[in-house]
Amino acid sequence: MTRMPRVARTAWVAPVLTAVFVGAWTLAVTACDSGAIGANTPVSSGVSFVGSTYNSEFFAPGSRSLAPAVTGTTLTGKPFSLTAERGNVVVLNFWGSWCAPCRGEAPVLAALSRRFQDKPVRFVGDNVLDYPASADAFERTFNVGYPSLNDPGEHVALAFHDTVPPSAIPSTIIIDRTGHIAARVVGAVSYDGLEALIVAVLDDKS
Amino acid sequence: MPNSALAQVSNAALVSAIMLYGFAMLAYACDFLYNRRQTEVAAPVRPARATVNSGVLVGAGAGPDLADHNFGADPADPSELADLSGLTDGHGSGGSGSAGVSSAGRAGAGLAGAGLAGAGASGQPRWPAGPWLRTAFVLTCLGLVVHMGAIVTRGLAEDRVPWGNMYEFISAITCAAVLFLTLAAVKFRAYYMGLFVLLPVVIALAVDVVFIYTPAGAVAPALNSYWIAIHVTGMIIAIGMYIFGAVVTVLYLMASRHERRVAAGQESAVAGIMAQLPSSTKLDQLAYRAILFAFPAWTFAVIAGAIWADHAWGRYWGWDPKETWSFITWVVYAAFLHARATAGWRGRRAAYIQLLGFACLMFNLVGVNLWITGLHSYAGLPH
Amino acid sequence: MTADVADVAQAAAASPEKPRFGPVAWLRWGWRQLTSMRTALVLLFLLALASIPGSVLPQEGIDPAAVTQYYTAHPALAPIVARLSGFDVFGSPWFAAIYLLLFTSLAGCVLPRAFRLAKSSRQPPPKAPRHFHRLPQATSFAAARPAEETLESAAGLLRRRRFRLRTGDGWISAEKGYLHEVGNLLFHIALLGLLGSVALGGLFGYKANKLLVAGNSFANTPTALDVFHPGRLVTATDLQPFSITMTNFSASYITTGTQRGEPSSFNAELRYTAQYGGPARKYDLQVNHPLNVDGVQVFLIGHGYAPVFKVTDGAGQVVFNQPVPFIPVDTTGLTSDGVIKVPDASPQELGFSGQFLPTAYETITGTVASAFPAAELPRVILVGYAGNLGLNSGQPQSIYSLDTAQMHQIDVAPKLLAPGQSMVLPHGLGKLTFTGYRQWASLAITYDPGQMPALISALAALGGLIMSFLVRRRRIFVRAGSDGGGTIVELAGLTRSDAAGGFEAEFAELAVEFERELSGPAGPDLARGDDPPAPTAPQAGSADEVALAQSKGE
Repeated sequence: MTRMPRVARTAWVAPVLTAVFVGAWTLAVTACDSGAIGANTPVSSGVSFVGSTYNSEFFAPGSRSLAPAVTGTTLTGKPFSLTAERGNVVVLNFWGSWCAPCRGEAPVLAALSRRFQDKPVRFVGDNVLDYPASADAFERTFNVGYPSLNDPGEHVALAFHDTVPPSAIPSTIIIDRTGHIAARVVGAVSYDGLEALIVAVLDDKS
Repeated sequence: MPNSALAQVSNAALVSAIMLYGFAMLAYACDFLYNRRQTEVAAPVRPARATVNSGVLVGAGAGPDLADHNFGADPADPSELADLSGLTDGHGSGGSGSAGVSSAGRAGAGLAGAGLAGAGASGQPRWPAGPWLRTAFVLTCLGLVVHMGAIVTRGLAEDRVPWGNMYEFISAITCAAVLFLTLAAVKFRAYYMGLFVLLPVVIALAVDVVFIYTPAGAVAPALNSYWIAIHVTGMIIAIGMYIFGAVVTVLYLMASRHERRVAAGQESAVAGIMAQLPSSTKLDQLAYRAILFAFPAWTFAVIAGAIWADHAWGRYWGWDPKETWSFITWVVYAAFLHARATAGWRGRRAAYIQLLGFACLMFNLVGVNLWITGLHSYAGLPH
Repeated sequence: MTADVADVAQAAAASPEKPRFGPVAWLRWGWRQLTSMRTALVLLFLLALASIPGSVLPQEGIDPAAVTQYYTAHPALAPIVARLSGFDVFGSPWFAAIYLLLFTSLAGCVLPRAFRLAKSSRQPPPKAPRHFHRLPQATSFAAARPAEETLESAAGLLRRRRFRLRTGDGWISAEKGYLHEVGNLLFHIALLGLLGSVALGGLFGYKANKLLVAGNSFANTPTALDVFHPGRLVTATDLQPFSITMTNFSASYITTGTQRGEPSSFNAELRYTAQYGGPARKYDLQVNHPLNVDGVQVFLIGHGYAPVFKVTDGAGQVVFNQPVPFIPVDTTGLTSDGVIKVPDASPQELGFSGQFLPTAYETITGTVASAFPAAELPRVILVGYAGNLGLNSGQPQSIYSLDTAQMHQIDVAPKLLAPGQSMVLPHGLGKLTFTGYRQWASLAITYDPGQMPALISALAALGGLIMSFLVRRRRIFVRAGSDGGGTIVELAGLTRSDAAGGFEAEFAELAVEFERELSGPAGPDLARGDDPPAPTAPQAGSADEVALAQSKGE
């Protein structure tokens, strides 16, 4: 009499385990970038994480992280400290003169800084991956009325790395009057969008 | 600044080594022609044993005593069958599932019982018999010593480990191949292999000296690391053994074809040479043992290369063409080892797989260096 | 067996339905096929075959420039290749399918075997068979001592050789060599571990590139990096917060001999901090000598020149004064290409494109080239453009390419500029001065948490491989039975996995030792009143006796 071979009760363990393993692996592999560093010449596309992404976030007053104690020197040589700005809303914009979207949003920022100049709102730029002559020329071109930190090595961005990092150039971070991070815009800002965020941060009771 | 006097000594030594190998080949050939000695003759397959063992296959009908010897075989799992089925030389049913494989055709292993390994058991003397064979072996050893001298003096001339470009590398791998030839000759009494291994070695060295010669010089900064001693040395050892294995496999295929033709009553053109060589199963075993040594060495060399790559380039594996072809070579030799464990794939098919692996290896050495550019382009040849 | 066949026939005749394979049975069949050795063979070949295009076609992850070259060289073929993932073979779904299947097959075969090994190694060896002559290695000889004594001595001999024993009535069964299967399984499981380590790196690791000009610094944030490839679960907050300043970069080249112009050493002097505001440390970064900071490795992988330019615009303002990295296009003389964009110049935006030549000379045909990679005679030659660079539109552009669609070329003949020399632009557009040069280094930043597990797995695989090759699993059986006045000792051996043929030698050696120890008496048996016979001397020829005994046992 033919018998089906008796299969041990544990025979299902192996197939199930491997199915789980295969599923996890597929997940890991299909989304990860296998880019290797290769040739002796830099693979840089020169775009340096500048993209056309746009993302705007507002953090509710109870759930804001404390902004880091950023210090630095402005392009004109004056010292700057973020903690000294407590009591003002600080709009911190990361930009570079080489960066096309930053040039695109520059008029918006200049206009908004003038709109809020009688309010307790301070616009501060953080000039990254750039050099003083070009940065000054940019400020002249766009009639930027507010100071910018001289930060070619992006150390200010590093300070934010474990809270709300600026994940692209340009990015704008809004810090409320108590020194907490209230909002972040990744990508070039629009007049209405940034204005609404600033007003919201100005108005919250904190 | 390379020491030009030592470099010239090295070049001269290499040419002398080629000449010595050439004379050794002549002596081996003369040995074939003039010295009709008795070698181990293949025993006929013993059918009675074969039938009994094939009855073991299913494990159900052979009786309780033999069934117990299936090493815990699960009769329901054909991959667990005892390797005794391997005695029928490739045509038993069902794979044996073990990576360390069954003896392909041990039934033909010879009455001496001690088989190829013969550490004193088969009664043959340790040293080669006959004046021609002795001369040939002495010449081979002499050539090997001079060849090693060429490599050492080159290293001294350049004040670095002497495998930094294609010229030095080919010299090194051929030296490794001859080294393994001499070791195998002594350990397995395989002196007859001399002629067949030296033939590709001499050709490769001649091409190396004439077309690929690069003067002694410093190494590129990327290669300036102690890892060159580990990774490239490992590669050289593995490749030397792979070369040896490939030569033995070719001989095995010739012997196997000869035996089939003889068994079918046909004429065989190589009957003269085949009478001087051991049976195809012995050759097969020798080839298999070569790969058993070379495969872990290759694995080690690839791992060492990955560690060095991580150290130098920031990633341990980047699918650089040389890395990819090393991987392909590894996979094909792994397939060879699996084939030896799969019924229907032992014997000739496995031999073809081994030669395929060797072809991948040769492409890895030559093709990737010369035709595909990547991080590994250190051939040193003018573009 | 025949009885069974008859039963089947009866059963089939009796029942009207044919036995059908249900879906579960099909799954089981499929699983068995997948985990069979033949499938593993096929998949191994497929894996090797599938890797070939990855080495022949240019790969996106390794050399994107070569991929673009392929597009220009084979415009019709390139999109087809791209659709088939030919430019990313090792990340392609079909390659993944092959190795996933292979590893599934491997896991499905190895895990049950691991359980079986655990079980069987706890069990004693099986009983000795009745008919030794059926086993591949068998021999017999006469012994003088009684059977039980002989058997005990045999057991002692086997125990000395570290066999695991099981004794019975007149027989011994001995087994050895479990490490073979242990090594085999260790190898295959380590391969699974290797795969897991690669996955770990792919999920939590990242790779980045940064081109850093000497004198500049950068912090490890995604926006500061030129190229950033994060693993799937990596976000900006996961990056280690180090920052690096390159205080100096130096390269030296071979000046004489056949290797003139080849680099002999590179050195990047770094100052780095592991945390924001932490203490600064120094490090000399070289090829083959990476920096390890906070678990991240920084490698020196390339270098080049960044000439410094000062642009004064038509209004007399200095609108640009910085080094511009130029990318080498030629390895012998390090001739480098670059682009300068001055979007804030007035009256018109300015752009320049040209070459930096470390050791410049003019060829007979009038072109310029560089003879040596060191900056012995640095010169710059540029073409100028004026108009609209396109940056103010907000559309991102590469800093290494100049879009002259909305610009016109300035009519100044390009000529070699030495450091300090200027290119004066007509029509009041301004002036460009080549003030000097700096060097830049290209750094590779990698973080791979799977690196150490991968190493451990690889070494474990190697260890398992060697173990399984060196050890063979074998069984030895001994029977001792009385035969007239003396004892007949039968010895037999069986090995599971020994295609290399070493077991015969081992068995022969064992047989020789057994005969030597057991065939002679332990001491004179005074009760029997015999004289102790002369002990048989071990001979090399005794192996022949073994062989003869073997053939007799046929």
